[in-house]
Amino acid sequence: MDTAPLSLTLCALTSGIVTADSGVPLASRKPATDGVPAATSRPRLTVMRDVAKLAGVSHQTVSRVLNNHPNVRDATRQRVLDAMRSLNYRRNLAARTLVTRQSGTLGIIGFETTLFGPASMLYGIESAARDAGYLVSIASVRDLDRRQVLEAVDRLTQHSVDGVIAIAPKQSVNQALAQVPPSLQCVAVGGAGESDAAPTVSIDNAAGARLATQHLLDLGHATVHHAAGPSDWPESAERIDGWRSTLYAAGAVVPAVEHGWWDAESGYAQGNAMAKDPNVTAIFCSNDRIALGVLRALHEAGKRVPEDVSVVGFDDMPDSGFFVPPLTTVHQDFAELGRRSLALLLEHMTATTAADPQPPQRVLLTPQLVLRTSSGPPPSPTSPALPPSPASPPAASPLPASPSPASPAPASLALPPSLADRP
Amino acid sequence: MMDVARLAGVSHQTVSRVLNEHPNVSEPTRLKVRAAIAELGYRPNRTARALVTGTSKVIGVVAPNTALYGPASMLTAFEQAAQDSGFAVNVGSVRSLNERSIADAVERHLDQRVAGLVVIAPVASAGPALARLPDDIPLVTIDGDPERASTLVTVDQVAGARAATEHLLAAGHSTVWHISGPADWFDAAGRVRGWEDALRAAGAEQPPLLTGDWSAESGYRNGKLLARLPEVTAVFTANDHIALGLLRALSEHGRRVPEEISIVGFDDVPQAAYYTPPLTTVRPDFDAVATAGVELLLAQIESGTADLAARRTIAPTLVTRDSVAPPPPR
Repeated sequence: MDTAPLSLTLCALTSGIVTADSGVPLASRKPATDGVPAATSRPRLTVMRDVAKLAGVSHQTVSRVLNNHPNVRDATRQRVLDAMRSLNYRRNLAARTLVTRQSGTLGIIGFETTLFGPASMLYGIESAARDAGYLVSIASVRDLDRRQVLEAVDRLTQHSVDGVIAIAPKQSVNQALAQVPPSLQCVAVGGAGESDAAPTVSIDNAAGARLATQHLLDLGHATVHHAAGPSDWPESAERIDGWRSTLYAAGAVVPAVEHGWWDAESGYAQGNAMAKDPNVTAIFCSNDRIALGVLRALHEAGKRVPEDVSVVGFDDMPDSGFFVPPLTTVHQDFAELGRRSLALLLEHMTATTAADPQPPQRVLLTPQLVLRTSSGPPPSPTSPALPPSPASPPAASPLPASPSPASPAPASLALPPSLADRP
Repeated sequence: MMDVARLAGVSHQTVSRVLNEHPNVSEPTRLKVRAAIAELGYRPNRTARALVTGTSKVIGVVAPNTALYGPASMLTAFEQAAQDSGFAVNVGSVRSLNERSIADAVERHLDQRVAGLVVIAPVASAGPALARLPDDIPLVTIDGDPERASTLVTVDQVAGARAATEHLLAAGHSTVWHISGPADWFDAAGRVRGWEDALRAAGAEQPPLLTGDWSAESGYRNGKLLARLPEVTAVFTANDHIALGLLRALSEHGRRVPEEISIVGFDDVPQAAYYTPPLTTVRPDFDAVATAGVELLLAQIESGTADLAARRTIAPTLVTRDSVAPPPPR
């Protein structure tokens, strides 16, 4: 006999209000309340209406701000955000879902979670879920075909999850989510795709690629080559679109694209081919690991970065400021992505029961360019190509751009006398 | 349980109902009982807990919240191994590895009545949190305190560090410097011990220990110091991220690797083969750790008894690439 679903449901009804051991209302639980007996009266939880009232806007406007809807004026957005902050609204988001809440557990479908992006998304979602009082259950899939994704949904359903967030880098996931019964709300994170099967939160990959490509064009490069990710991941396809459209708009030649995987090995293979081509002066890479492989290939070929070739990545891994040279890249805010996806899931979960306005189907977050020293102007056409010198140390960047706070200072430190005159 | 009933002013049976999540208990009563339980620090007895855990096919995992390659790989490997055995994995991650946050994460899992717990407990402060657990909870610690009596699966940090250090000594270096991880991590302490052991066995002088925090930034910071010391010819770093930062600092100072300075890392991150130069490093087998962890946990869940002596130590392997060479001639 399996009584788990029943007892889980019942547990959630209590644990949603008080944590079983401390007896402290969820919304005010702080680390320092160990052993405090149950509070006799709980403060009323902040709801969206309170925020709307304080900010002097409609309920719908608050919802729009929460979901990063474009049609909100900056001043209004700021007023709503200020109201949320002063009412501590985010912490109480989960409270809104108490009525529909069943187990207090959310499911995450993960794929390739040792890659930096998916791992960061996983932890971003988990952190946001915990802040809202949820546990997360993970079901990872080895392939993103429809059957495996549906099986993962099935496993999560057996464990009574209240909703599912799929780290969904492929179209097939959206198709699978379309087959999930409407009683189980799903949100896809990361891979946008075109399907409207499930609400989606993603980084605006095309915008990030445009920033990177435009940055290289602005430095004076005639065109920008691209080291791409796998062809069947929307992240990769959208970055290609952003790169290509920027080149079109500038009237630049659009070089051919080879697809690879998200790793340094693939970047190394693509970089080896590009290093042989004297026309390549700027390379935009679909992620930072690919960029690392490209840097390695250029180094082996005796090409200096950024003097001979500029390289820009995508992700801004913690390591990327320590590449040789430190990598100019596109920063994705995975913590924000986690918070947004949780917020959107909860919005959709509650919208089915309340007379709330329908939450958006798609939330796009804008990434930012982080300038370091791997990008610079192209070599002047008159200067002769230097012979390969793999052993020579990379020189300091000519870019006067200030490094981002995360990056180490450029190589401008004077050597101590004992080392400066070494052979 | 009688004490709880008395304090809450309810019957024995009502307490039992609350513990077993019986539906016929009013909300105020439930709160009263919960409050009494909290006040008395009451733990349901073994039978009550078994009722609660018996039917669950969920394993609770407590893990540090980080995208660092080591912990992230461990979690993923664990989730897949559990899934292959028909168990789901609930994750409670902890942002700071202190006693209270680990205890909180453990509590959240117990509230959800997991069948067993896996705690990736790489720091000393996890000890007190785990010591307070009732001994009837199936529990496996990953990378935890080797001195503590518990079911433990761990990478053989000492052996890995010894292999790395010996490899550098065998290349002809008179001694090896070390940039460690944070002092309160068992992984870091084990790697320091292996480094010390190898130096002592070789009769090599032990240079001052430099401390990092697993990040590339900490490798860079320490590297700026090492780059200025002409006597430094070999460095073993506690992980590959630190090695990357060190490589960058050495490159800035014009010190060539491996011609002037040799480096060995730890972890074998997927991109280590593409560092400049490709990094010689120590590869822990995360899949083997996860598989052993699931095996030991399932054995406890099935037998109902914890075997505190059960211990698996997974030996890492040295992966040689291009970052090690003989020292430059003096």
